[in-house]
Amino acid sequence: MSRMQKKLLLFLTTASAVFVFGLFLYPNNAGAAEVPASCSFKEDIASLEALKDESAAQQINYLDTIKAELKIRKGILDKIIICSIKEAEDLKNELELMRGDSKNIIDLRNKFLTELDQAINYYESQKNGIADLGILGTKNMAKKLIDWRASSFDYLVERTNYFSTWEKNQVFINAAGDRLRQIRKSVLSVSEDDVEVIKILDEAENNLQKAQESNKDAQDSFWGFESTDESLNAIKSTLEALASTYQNFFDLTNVVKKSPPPEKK
Amino acid sequence: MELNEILKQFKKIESSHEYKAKSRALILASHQDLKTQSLWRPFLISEGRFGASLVMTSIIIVALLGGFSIKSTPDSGSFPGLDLAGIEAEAQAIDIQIQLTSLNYEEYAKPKSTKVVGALPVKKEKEVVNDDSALIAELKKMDGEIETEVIQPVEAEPGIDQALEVLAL
Repeated sequence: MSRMQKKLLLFLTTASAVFVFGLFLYPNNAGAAEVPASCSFKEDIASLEALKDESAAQQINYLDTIKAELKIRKGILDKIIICSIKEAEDLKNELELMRGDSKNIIDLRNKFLTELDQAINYYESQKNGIADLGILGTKNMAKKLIDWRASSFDYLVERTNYFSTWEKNQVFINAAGDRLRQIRKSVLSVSEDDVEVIKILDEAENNLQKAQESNKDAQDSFWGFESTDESLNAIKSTLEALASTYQNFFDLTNVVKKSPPPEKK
Repeated sequence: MELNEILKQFKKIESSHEYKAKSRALILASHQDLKTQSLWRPFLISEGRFGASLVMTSIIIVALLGGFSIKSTPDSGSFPGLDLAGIEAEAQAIDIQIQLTSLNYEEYAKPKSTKVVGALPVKKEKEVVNDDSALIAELKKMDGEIETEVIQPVEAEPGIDQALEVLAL
């Protein structure tokens, strides 16, 4: 390779490295312009209250107060809608990052993604009407949003979060099942007459079965319109049964340690 | 002329076959000079080191790959699936998941009006102000007009639900 070629290669390598590094450093601002830096409403609420104080002290006239209040109210409503959409988008991102690839997981994930899209569409539809509102209109829209969030969105958010927890539990259930099968095969091959070992193995089997049943209950609860408490209780039962299964594994380890070592055949 | 004839005859002189054979045998049987092997000598000496190095490297590679174990006493690890470290790691992961689920439940168990999704529970700003006012008033009543330092509670950032409540008024 000639000296010139070496220089060219070095230049191209450096340029590529700088380009790739720049891609990571350069913020992706597409569509981010309207998302506020923070979804805290501390300053917005403070400015609304300050205006009321000024008005009460008659520092500004009534008409100016109305105009200023309407502007602040509309600004807060706009921000509420943007932040609510971000809330839903964040949940969607979390669902899309799920690694589980079983049909159950994919079907439920798609169901929740659809519901979150519907919620985003609702917020978008409300956003369009803000510009035409008067002060009373902003109050009514706020009440409407409070009701909708309490009756629909909060329920969806809660269920989506429980579904995320449930999805993570699938890894634990599969791991426990694999481990139990492995232990049963290896331990019974040398201790098939050991009553204590068989008893603990049976307990582990029962606990794992309980975990699988509760896990199925939780899965079914996501398809229906059950209370979120049902999903949560099923998830908790699953994890408790799994914890008991692992306690059985620990017990089995102790019993096997006391037993004479397996004879090599 | 006589001399010329004698010199011509010298050209025809040959060694006897017996002498040739004897001389050849003597040369082959004589001691050879070691200087002729000097190029190979270092190589021949290092051959021993090279061999030892090869054996040591093989031992290290086999040891690193876990080709043999120095364990002489069997334990529960002799049973596939009963490795304590693996069981402990999985049990710990389940324990963490139980704690996370409980935290999640506590989050949703908060009254709806003070709940902010995806954030820590928020206390109503008005409640904070009222609590402080009541406390300060009580202290002033007890201690007259003496300046009393009150530790201010950390103000939580109002979220979407709090903003909606303010807007609805």
